[in-house]
Amino acid sequence: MALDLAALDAKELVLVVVALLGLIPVVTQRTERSGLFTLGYVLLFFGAVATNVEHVVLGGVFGFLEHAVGIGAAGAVFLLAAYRRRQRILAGDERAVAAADADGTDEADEPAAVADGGEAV
Amino acid sequence: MVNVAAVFDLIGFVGFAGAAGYAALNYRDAEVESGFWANYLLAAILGAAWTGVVLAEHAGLAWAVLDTLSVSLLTATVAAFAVGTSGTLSVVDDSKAARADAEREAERARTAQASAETAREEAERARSETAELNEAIESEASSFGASMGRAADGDLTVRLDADGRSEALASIATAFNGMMDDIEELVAGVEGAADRVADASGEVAEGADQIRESTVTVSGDVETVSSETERQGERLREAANEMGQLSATVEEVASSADEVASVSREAAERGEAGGEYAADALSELDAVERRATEAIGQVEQLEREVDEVGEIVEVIGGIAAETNLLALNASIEAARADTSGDGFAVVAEEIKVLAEEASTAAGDIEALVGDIQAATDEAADNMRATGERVREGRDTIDGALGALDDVSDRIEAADAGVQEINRATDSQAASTEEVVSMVEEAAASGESAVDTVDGVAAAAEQTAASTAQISERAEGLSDLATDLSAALARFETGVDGEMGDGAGGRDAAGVGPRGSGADGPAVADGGRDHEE
Repeated sequence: MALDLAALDAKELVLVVVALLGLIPVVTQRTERSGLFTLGYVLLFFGAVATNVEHVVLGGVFGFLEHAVGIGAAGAVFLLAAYRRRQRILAGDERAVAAADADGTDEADEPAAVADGGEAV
Repeated sequence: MVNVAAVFDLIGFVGFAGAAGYAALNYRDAEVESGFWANYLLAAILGAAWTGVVLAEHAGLAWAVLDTLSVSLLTATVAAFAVGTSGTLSVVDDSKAARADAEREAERARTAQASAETAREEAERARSETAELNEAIESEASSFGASMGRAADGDLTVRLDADGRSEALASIATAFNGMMDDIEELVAGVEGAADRVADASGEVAEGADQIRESTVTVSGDVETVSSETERQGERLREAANEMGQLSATVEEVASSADEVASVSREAAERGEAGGEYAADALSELDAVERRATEAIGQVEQLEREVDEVGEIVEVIGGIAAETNLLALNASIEAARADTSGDGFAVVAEEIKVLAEEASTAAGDIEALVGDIQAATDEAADNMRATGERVREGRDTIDGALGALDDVSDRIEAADAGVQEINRATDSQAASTEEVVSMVEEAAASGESAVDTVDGVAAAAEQTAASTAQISERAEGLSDLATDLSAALARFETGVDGEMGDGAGGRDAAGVGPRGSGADGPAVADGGRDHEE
C-alpha cells in the first residue's frame, strides 16, 4: 500500500514534534500521584499522532481513534484527574503528603489512596 | 444518525471544561499547588477551546480559519499539558514535602525551646538547692576529714556518719565505713597471722633441719644402695657371661649328643648287620659240618678200600712167593732132567724173576697202601678234628650271635637314651638362652636402677640444700613476721587478732564498742553497723 506522505500537513507535523518533546518530561517526571495526568497526556499524544496518521493510512480508523481517544478519552481523564486531586486536597492531602515524606513511610499514602479511590497507577 | 466522532468531541469538550472548572477551584483552595493548578487551568481552557472548535466544525461551520485554529489550539493544548502535568506536579509534591519538613523542624524548635526553658528553671532551682547542700556537705566533709585524720593516725575504730543530706557523702561514708571494717579486720587478721607465721616459720625451720638431717641420711643410704646396685649389676653381667658360656657348652653338648646318637644308631645298624653275618656264618658252618661229616665217611670208605687193596696185595705177595717156590721147584726139576729140561729151566727162571718182581711190586704196593692208610687215618682224624672244631665254632658263633643281639639291644637302648639326652640338651640350651636374656635384662634394669638411684641421690642432695635454704627463709620469715607485728601494733582495733584468721573473721562473735570519744563507733555485726 503506497503511502501518501504529501498529504501530511506541516502544522500537524509540528504538533507531533511538540507532543513528542512534551512526552519526555511527562514520562520522566511522573509519579504515582500523577498517574491520571500522565495518562491524559499520553492519550492526547496518541490523538496528535492519529491526526497525522489518518492522512497517510487507515484514515477512517485513525480518524475515529483521534476523536475517541485523543479528544473524548483525554478530556474525560483530565477531568477525572482534576476531580481526584481536588478530593485529596479537600481531605487534607497536603498534610498527609508532608507527613509521609517526613517519615519516609507509606502510612500517609494509605488514606490518600482511599480518598482518591485508588487512583495511583 | 448520530455522529459518533461528534459525541466523543462533545465528551472531550465537557471533560476539558470540567477540568478547567476543577483547576480553578483547586487553584483557589490549594496553597502549595496553586501554581500547578494555574498551568492546568490554562491547559484545560486551551483543550476546551480546541474541542469547541472541533465541535463547531461538526456543527457545520466550515471556515478555513477553524482548521488552522484547531491544529494550533491542539498544539498549544499539548504543550500546555506537557508543561503543566507530571513535571509541575512533581515539583509541587517536592515543594510540599519541603514545606512539611520546615514546619516539622519549626515544631521541634518550639518544643526544644520549651524544654530549654523548663530546664533553665529547674537548673535555677537546683542551683539554690545545691548551694544549701554545699554548705551541709562542707560541714560533713570537715567532720569526715577529722575522722579520716584519726584513721590515718592508726585509729581503725573511726566510722563516718552515713545519714547526712548528701547522698554522695553518705555513699562515701558507707564505703569508708565498709573499708574501715575491712581494714580493721584485715589488720587484726594480719596481726594474728603474723604471730602464727612467726610460730609456723619456727616450726618450719625446725622441721627443715630435721628434713635436712633425714635427707643427709637418705643420701648416704641412697649412695650405699647405688654402690650395691652397681655391684649387683656387675654380678649380673658376670652371670650373663657365665650363662652365655654355659649356653655355648650346652649347645656343644647338644651337638656331641647328636653325634653320639648318630654313632649309636650306626653301631646298632652294624650290630644288626653282625648278627646277620653271624647267622650266615652259622649256616655256612652247618654246611661245612655236613661236608666234613660226608668227607669223614668217604675217608673211612677209602680206608676200608685201602685195607681191601692191602689184602689183595698180600694175596698177590703170597701168590708171588708160591710162584717163586714153584719156579724153584721147576728149576730143580729141570736140572734133574739134564738137557731136556733146559728150556724148562729157562722158563722157570723167568717165572722166578717175575715172581720176584711181583713180590717186589706187591711189597711196594703194600708199602704205598700202608702210607695211604696212614694218610687216610690222619685225614680221617683231621676231618674229625675239623668237624669237632666246626661244632665248637658254631657254638662260639651262637654265643657271639647272642652277644651281638644283646649288644644291639643295648645299643638301641643307648640310642634311645642318647636321643632323650639330645632333646634334653636342646631344651636346656633354649632355657639357658632364655636365662641369659633374662639375666641381661636384669643387668640392664640394674643399670637403669643405678641411674635412678644416682638421680635420687642427686635429688636428695638438692633437697638437703633446698631444705637448708627453707630453714634460712623460715628464720627470715619469722623475723619478718616479728617486724610486721611490731609495725601493726600502731593500729588500734576493736577486733581480736585471732578472729581475723581467714574467712571466719567476719562471722566471729560481735565486737564491742571501740575507741572512745564522739567518733568512736560501735561495730556490732562484723563491723558493718556503726554509730557516731
